[in-house]
Amino acid sequence: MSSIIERVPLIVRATGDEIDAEIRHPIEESNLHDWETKWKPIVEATEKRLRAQGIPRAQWPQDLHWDWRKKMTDMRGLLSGATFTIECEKATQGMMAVNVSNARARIEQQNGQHLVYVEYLEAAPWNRKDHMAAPRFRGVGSILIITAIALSRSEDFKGRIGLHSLPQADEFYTRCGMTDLGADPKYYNLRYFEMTPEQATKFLEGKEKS
Amino acid sequence: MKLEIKREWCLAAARREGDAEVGAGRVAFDPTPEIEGAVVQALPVEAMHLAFGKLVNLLRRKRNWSIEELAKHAQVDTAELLLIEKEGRHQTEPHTVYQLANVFQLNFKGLQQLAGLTVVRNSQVVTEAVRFAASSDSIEKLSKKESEDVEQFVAALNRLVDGEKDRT
Amino acid sequence: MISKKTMTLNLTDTEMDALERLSAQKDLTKTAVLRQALRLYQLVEARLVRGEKLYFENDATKEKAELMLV
Repeated sequence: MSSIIERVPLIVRATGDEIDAEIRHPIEESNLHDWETKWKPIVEATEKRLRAQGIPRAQWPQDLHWDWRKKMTDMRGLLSGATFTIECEKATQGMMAVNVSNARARIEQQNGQHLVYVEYLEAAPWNRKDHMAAPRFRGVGSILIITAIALSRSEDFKGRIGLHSLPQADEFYTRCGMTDLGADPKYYNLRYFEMTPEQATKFLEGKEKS
Repeated sequence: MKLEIKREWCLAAARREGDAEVGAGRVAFDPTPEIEGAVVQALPVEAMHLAFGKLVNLLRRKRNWSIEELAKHAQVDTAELLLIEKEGRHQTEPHTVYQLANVFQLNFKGLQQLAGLTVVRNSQVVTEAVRFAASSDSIEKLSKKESEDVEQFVAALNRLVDGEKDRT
Repeated sequence: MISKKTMTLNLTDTEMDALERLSAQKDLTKTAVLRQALRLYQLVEARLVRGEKLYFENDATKEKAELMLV
């Protein structure tokens, strides 16, 4: 059974209104059910559309075939991982899986210390321009990232987080103020981003990277 | 775990986020064929890479070569060979795949597919690769079973790949 | 992670020393160090139970030394 961590607002893109959402943990069956019955059909439709339009694969969203159920099975019972969701309107708006044990900081000045490594982060397809011309809610990414930072602090990792960004998201993570350590040849050449304790504090204070 | 996050922060962040893409994490490589109607099951590229790495590893050990020796014989980078054999997420350079195909006398087309360089057109290739990669591991001298495993896999790969009709 | 339970820990002087040194070295509280240790322990056990082995590898020589966990 998942429990709620915090109530947070998202923004309804169409109107600019606020809507109340919940950050919950861990991912549970209802979320996986949402993923299978609500997310996947949209994702599959996008893939069909892209293929039909002959769009080169390099321009496709790169997470069309993520398997959250498999991820949860792999993580089951292990303390080293943690999962989170954002929910509102009785639907899963975003999910995140992190590792709190195996990863270490790569930024030299961080001396190889512990950090929270974001293994997967995905917003529901109806919240993404990749899939819908008019996405529904804004803020899912920011809220999941701040959740990772809060977890990092509670683990005494001082707010350090790390992740491999999907190409289309590089800009978002840069704007969050994370350090871009470049394409990682050991990880499909995805760019590896990391946040120092100072950057985490800045992010929490709402200072946008110029 | 306390979040201590203000509503104002959330709203400001949501506005800053706008329509940005936010995904992070391992890419599930989808070797979708360009041929209309053919169904190839998308597999995490790790499984294919693991099969590739394992193949290189077993074929090398069959010849009683160290990684350095293989690097010399194939004229490729030792560092890259290490990543191929030990790192399930490495994307091998095309040139290296070509050299390895030569030194091990493997079907180059098959090896390219295994290494994730070209589209996998026959889902059986993927199935065989996964089965091969999943069979157990060891760092000792090649056992009889491993020897047989390698031979079976190479034969299957050759058979399946050669059976494909080339379409341009 | 949300609700926590308290446990009293009895350690020898040497163990406490080691814990304190790790805590300083890893810039973590002693509790955080022990939680990391627990996670790693659990992870290792989970793999061993699947029949896998744990090795250390010398980066320079590429020699592997098995951590014997019988």
